[in-house]
Amino acid sequence: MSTVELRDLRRTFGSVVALDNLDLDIRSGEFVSMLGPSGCGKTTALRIVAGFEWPDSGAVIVDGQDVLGQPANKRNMGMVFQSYSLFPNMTAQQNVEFGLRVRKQSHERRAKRASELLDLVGLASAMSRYPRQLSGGQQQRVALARSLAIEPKVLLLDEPLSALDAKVRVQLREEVRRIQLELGITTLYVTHDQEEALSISDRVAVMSAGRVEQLGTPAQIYSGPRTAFVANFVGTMNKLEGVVMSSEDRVVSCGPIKVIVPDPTFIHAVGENVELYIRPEDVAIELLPVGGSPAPGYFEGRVTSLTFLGPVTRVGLRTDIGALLADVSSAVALNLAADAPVAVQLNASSLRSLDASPESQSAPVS
Amino acid sequence: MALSEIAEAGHRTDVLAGTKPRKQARNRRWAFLGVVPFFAYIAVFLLIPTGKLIVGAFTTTTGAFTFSNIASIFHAPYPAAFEFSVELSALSALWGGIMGFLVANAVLHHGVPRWVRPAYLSFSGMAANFAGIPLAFAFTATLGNLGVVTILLKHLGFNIYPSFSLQGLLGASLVYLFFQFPLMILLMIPVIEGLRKEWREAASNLGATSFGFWRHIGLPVVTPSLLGLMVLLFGNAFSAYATAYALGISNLVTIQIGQFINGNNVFAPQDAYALAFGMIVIIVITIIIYTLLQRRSSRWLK
Repeated sequence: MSTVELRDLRRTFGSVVALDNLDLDIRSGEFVSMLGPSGCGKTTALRIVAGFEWPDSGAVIVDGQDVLGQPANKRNMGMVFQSYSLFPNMTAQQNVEFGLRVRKQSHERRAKRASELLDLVGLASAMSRYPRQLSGGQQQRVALARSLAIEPKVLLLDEPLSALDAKVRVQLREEVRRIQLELGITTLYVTHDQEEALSISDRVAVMSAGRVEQLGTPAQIYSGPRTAFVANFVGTMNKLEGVVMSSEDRVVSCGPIKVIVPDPTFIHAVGENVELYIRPEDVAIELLPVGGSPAPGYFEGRVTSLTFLGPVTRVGLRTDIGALLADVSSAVALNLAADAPVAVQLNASSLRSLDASPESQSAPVS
Repeated sequence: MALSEIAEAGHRTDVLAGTKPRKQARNRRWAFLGVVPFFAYIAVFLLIPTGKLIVGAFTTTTGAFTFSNIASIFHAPYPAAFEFSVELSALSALWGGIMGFLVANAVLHHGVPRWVRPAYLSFSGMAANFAGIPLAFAFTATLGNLGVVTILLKHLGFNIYPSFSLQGLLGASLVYLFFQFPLMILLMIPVIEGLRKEWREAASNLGATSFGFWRHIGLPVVTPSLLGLMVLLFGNAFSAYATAYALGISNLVTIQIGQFINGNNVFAPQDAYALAFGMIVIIVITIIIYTLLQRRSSRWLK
């Protein structure tokens, strides 16, 4: 098992900065995902690690040794590509054997290894099929087996599931994780799909504009975003605009509502404009009876939309502090209708004030 | 809604539903009119002449059925003409194919500046159509008996004549190469573009060198196309006439047929039909091989 360190990687394409002094450490046997929108530099970083791109400056250190001087074919890294990259003139078995064939291993050893790996990815029965005879999901499994055949130091996956349909994607991502855990291989995974990154990674590096905005476990990233960009990119956030009323007590006025920010590091001068964030699951609503008024701690809103998401329904609200989204149980949502008056309560302990970044978008953003 | 209204609404729906397919069917019936000019052109200038040629190859001047015309193409001077046509076509196709493949690959190499590709495409488009008298003149002026290059080489101590001649196999294939090789570049570029970047990168990632990629993946994938396009070049050279005529080459099938058309050979007019029939057979075989190879390559490159 190997460790990978990306040190101060900088890569520009003309005036566009793809990587802006990127730093990232991947521990031995760890599964790290680089998550970010298109153009954030995640694929460029992965391709630099693989040896298909070169940085303007910086270092890629694998097991303490800078590998930037080595060509891709000497780095011993397995890679699974976004699109189907199987060699079309070879069967699944021949594809898996290819790396071993290049290494001049015996026919018996190659066949044995290919058989083991195709078995591992659940395709033992398809070893004599050509890529065109395999489905997209099967092709990516073979690609995974092929990348593992050479016993790579590091496994690199460049959005390997993006071309697959939703059901196969979920199935295959779980298999990727199972195999990674079984083999204990250090893995760097690139995706723009937050659900994918959060569900299979040990740690997630959320990237923006060529930098890592935040690195942490999936729970840390989701529950404790450190920047507005991370908060907006991972999951859905409501943004509240307010004015600081009391610096000591961290009281902020959002229109007619006053909230107390729980974060002790929240230090702003009285009268300063601030942005507060809260997730839809931390916004509670109750149906108001006709002519009724909200109980203390609640404020009034009206339902503007209902989006069924399975176990929960996302409710769009129009309130005095602006548009909000709230997640309620779908069973509860059955009682709601468009323009219905509701009482809204914010879970004050979940309110956060985040550093705005240029990429932050107006709430609510999915 | 009353039952009668429901029934009427249902009927209306059926009528409306039935209108569109009926209109579509009527449109389909008239759609063929668009291709009538094309098929008329093909019929008048390809099918009818071909039919007449085939009939003429198997009939006497009085219209009686015979195999003697076909038999005559196996007698002098025709076998030599077929032999030289096939040799010249094969050699120029081989040279043109290999060179076109190598240049197309070089043009698409990732290190080559972007402007090179359109420049090569423009040049190739022009050069592939540079044939006939201008081409023959260009080569006569450079590599002819008194050509610029011939004289320059003579000054340098290399007298290429009399062993070399523009009418010989080597000389004529060199002339043909001028339009064969750019044609191959034009046809080969899309084939090489069909080799996905991911295949090269995956091969490299698995430890293969560039040579290893071409040996195990690149060449096996492009070979059917490469061979298919070389077969196409063969057909292109086999049916060439003007360049050979202007160079003064006489022992080619197309030149022999031209002799009949020009009225220079009036003794056995039916031989012209037989010669043309022989050409048709060779071209049809060429097309069949090309189609089979293309089908095989498209399976991998699509």
